Amino acid sequence: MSGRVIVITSGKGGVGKTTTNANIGTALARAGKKVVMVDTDLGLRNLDLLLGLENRIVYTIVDVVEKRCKLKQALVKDKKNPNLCLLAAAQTRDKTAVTEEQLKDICDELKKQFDFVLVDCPAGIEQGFQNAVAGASEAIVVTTPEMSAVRDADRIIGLLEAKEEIKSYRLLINRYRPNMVAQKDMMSQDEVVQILSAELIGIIPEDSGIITSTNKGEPIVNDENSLAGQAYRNVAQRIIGEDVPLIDFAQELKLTTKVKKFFSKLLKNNKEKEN
Amino acid sequence: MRRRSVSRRRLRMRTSSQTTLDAATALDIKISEFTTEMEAPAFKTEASPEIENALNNIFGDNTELAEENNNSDNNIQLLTDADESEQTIENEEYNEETENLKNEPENLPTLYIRKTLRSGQSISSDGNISVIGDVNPGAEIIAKGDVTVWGVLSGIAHAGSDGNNYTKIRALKLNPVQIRIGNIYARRPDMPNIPYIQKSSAYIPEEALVSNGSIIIRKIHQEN
Repeated sequence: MSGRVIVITSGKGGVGKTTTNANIGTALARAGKKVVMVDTDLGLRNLDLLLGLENRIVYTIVDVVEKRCKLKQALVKDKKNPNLCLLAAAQTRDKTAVTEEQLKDICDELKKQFDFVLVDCPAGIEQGFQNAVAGASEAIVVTTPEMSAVRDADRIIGLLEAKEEIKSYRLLINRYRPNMVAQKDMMSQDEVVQILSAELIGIIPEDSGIITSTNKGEPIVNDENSLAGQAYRNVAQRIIGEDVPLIDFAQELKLTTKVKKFFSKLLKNNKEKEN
Repeated sequence: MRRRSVSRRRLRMRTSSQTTLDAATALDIKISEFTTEMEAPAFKTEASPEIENALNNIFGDNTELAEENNNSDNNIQLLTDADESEQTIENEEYNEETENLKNEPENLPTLYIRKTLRSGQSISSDGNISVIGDVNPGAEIIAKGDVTVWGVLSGIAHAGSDGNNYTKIRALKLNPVQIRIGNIYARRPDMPNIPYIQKSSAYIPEEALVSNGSIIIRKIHQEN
């Protein structure tokens, strides 16, 4: 059994790579798959914060590479889901501490034990990026519908296409605002896909719940009522191979839908109180 | 060898700012003041003519891309404009050197690329370059001969890079950040980033060429 190694990259910083990584990983684990998430952003690690696992890190990827511990000892199990593990980056070193071959060896080793290896990539196109894509065979390019992010995503796609090891890549549009798109103030999903000529794997709407979930250290996919959580769960389903239609944001925006959701939540709360 | 102490008491700073002086006295750091005001050097108000020229070429408004016709609905208008420019070009006197330059692309080898050029990718050739695909902004094409893009040209294209002003740049849709033919540069008009050019199946191919010292763009269409 060989797992799939997927690198989540973007070029531009702050578009949501680490958030996407944490949420897709959690969603895949909830679906029953064995997932390990690897943080390669040495010196600026964030993946552990989003999962709420900062306190439990004993060994990091640099300890594995410098042979101070075994790979299995460095994997941190998730608080809630036993299917999910994290291989954290070192906060005290920088990206020169590991080489591409070392990261490739780690990914190959992890591939044997897990269904999915999600590699989180730092921003930029230099050594950090080169390290992260070294062991991967698939990629998810994350972008926001802004010109600067799209430009950088184009650059990254050019670099990914030049690598033979990356067999396929998909596009993920993050922080999408259907209101602004309807008013022509923001690029629509069609425009982004046209500019980048890439296949879409999902669209995640802008959701202030992301900030709260980061602060709590709990990925938003665990929240059943959040639209962004639903979108991330759909992306995980598509990665597994199921054909899930894109969320129709126009429908979600309608007042009737919001009212219906509000009342159904109210009824659910009432039932829980009665029981 | 004199040892330099790094303790705060021995730190010497020079400043002419009152705020810094106050802060330093509060922290008990020795400070010395600038006593004379330094005069700023006199900057030249006029740049040298060479620099002016080069800057005008890139940023000057008189070399802005002049579209032959913005409305392609009115067919008759389109044709007459193109005819006008044909005349200006043909009115040049026959000159063997000019003819050689005009025909040079035909004698050059052609680099043939069958994929979209993405941002950051740069292709250069001693001959012509043909790209089957788009050229995204941030990509560069530098050719000594002609440049032909079978798609949308949004990046930078430089034809006749060794000084041949008779080369041409053609694309299914010309929307380049900058166009350079020979040693003449031109930029596209300032516009918002969205709405982005929609790819459509109804393109009329366009070509850019040098006419009367500036770059013009005209549509290529059947001439009966």
